[in-house]
Amino acid sequence: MTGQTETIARPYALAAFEYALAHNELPVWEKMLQAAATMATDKQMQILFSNISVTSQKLLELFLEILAPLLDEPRKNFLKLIAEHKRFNVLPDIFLKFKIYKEEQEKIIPIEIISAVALEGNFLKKIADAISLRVKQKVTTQCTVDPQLLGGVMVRMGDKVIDGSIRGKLNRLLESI
Amino acid sequence: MQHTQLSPSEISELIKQRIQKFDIKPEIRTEGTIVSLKDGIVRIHGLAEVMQGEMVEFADNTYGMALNLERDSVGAVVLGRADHLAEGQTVKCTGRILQVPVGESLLGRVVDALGNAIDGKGPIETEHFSPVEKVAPGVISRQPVSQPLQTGLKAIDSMVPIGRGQRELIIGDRQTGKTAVAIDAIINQRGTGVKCIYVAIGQKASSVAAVVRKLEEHGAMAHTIIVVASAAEAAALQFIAPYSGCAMGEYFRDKGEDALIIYDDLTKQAWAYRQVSLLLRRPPGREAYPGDIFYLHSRLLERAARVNAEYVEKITHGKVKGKTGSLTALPIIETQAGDVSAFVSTNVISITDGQIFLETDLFNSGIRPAINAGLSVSRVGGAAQTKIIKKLAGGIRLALAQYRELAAFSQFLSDLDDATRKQLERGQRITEIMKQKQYAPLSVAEMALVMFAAEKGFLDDLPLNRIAEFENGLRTSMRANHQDLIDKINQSGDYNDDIAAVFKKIVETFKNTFVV
Repeated sequence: MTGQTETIARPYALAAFEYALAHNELPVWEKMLQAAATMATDKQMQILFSNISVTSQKLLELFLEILAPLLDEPRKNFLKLIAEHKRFNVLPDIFLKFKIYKEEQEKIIPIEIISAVALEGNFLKKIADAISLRVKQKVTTQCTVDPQLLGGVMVRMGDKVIDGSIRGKLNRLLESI
Repeated sequence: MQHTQLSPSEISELIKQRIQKFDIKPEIRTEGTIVSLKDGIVRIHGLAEVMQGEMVEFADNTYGMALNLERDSVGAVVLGRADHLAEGQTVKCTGRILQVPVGESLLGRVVDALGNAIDGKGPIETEHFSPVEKVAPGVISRQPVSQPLQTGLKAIDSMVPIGRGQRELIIGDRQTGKTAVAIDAIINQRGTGVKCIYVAIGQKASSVAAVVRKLEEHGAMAHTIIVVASAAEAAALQFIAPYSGCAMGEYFRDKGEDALIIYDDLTKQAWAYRQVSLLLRRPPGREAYPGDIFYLHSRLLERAARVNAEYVEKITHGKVKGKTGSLTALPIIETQAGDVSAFVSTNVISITDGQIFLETDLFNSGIRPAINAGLSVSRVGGAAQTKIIKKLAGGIRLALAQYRELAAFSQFLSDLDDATRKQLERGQRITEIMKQKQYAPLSVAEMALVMFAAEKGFLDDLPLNRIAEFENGLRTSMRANHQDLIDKINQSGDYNDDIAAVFKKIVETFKNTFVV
């Protein structure tokens, strides 16, 4: 996500989210947006996006055809709007924003746990519980392994980072000396 | 980069202590990512909790300041070099507003805009840090300006007196002696307890080096801090330098001492701020300056103030009682071809308590300092002027201004009446007496004696080209024979009939020996 496309993506994501929420269709909308986002990030699609001889009408037809099983009239209209404003390239950001809105609605915070070695499920749950107690919300975890940390764990929630890694401590020790 | 030399903090005992005291609790921080980087301006995605003006940390111990908080991104300026930063690197919040070291140990040193020593005399150890941006003292904490700040320049102390806590603008074209006036004022604070801060903004490093050398030569570095953001440094540093210097001056003010700060010059600071603002995509206004260019200078100059004893007591937690503090500011503005109606100069004129207007024509005709008596004013200094100077030099500014008018007018006349001719001659002599060499500030007593001689007409029968010589001799003879009187006047500043009688005797005695 970059600053500029995020700003463009926000109104689309918000409108889609509010519509889906009002009509109780959050899961299917999410599925559709995810599929559209995957399509938009496809390398060959990106070539099409930058090709000026491919009109947005053509692109729309392509999207409508591939995503056909997931579409009903309002979702078709959504894609038509995207085509009208030539915003196919912000679809991934729209999906990400949509997900953030959905998680906010469900009071779930996604956290990323980064560790030097793969963590056992038991331990993972312990961390997740401790954090969910602290932020008083449910959390969904995603694990990444980064040997650079040397040891300990680093937890990332949005912009916030809790750095309990050996690497971070060593860096701070270096600075303090 | 690895340094091959050990620094003083690298003693193994010290390192051991630091390791022992090291806090191993996990660190909680807010992070963001660099999205774009151009001309020292960084756009950061994330950093949701950053404050306006907060320091942000980039890779390799580089710091920046968050200036624009937008919906999806943060605009920050890099304080220093930016060539090792790259798109995609993480940026951390520090939770701190930009701070600089303050304290006595900075005196005699040359530092950059962030307070790091750049004079090669080793790192500076200070106990205190102070935020660069502080709100000026409020109405209740202030006291009227009532003590003089002697610049040692006859023309200024007699015609546009400056009081402690005043903001007096020095304005003029390039090469009219603006810096010279400021340097003389610093030199004259020797032994008075007034601490001086000279902030050089956007100047050639060679000019700054020359200033440092001159101050050292005249023994004025011991009470002076020099803050440098030279033309080669990042615009962000040039923009921040006056605030850093001001924070250093405020330390003395809040301790119940007197300080003098010189901003040389604010035009260049405005340019640097304009650059930063335009690159941050803030909308340009008149002369392409951003909308808050007035506030840029007004909030800075408002911090120069005289504060009362209660304020000082409160700030020092009762350690200093019954002492008022002051920070006097002498901002400098460079005009283009004498145009004072440019945007920045009119702004600063309206903020300050008066201005000293220097003119190219006067400078070139040998009147140095090239002060235009008609356009220079001091709105609050009169209340602070030493009694003796006030008494003896009261009419000089008006007389000089009238003389200039008359001199211009009389060029068209062939016959002049006696009164006009007299007035012209008196004016010429006063002009002559106001000339002063650089780096030679005068004490109150010496100045008073010279004013006395001019006021009482002792110079009227001397040829114009001998006036300077006469003045010099007069002062030398006073120093040789009446040191006690000099000390007395310098201390009290009083003027009475006794002193007038002694003055008269000194002038008459000297005049008898002076061969015309």
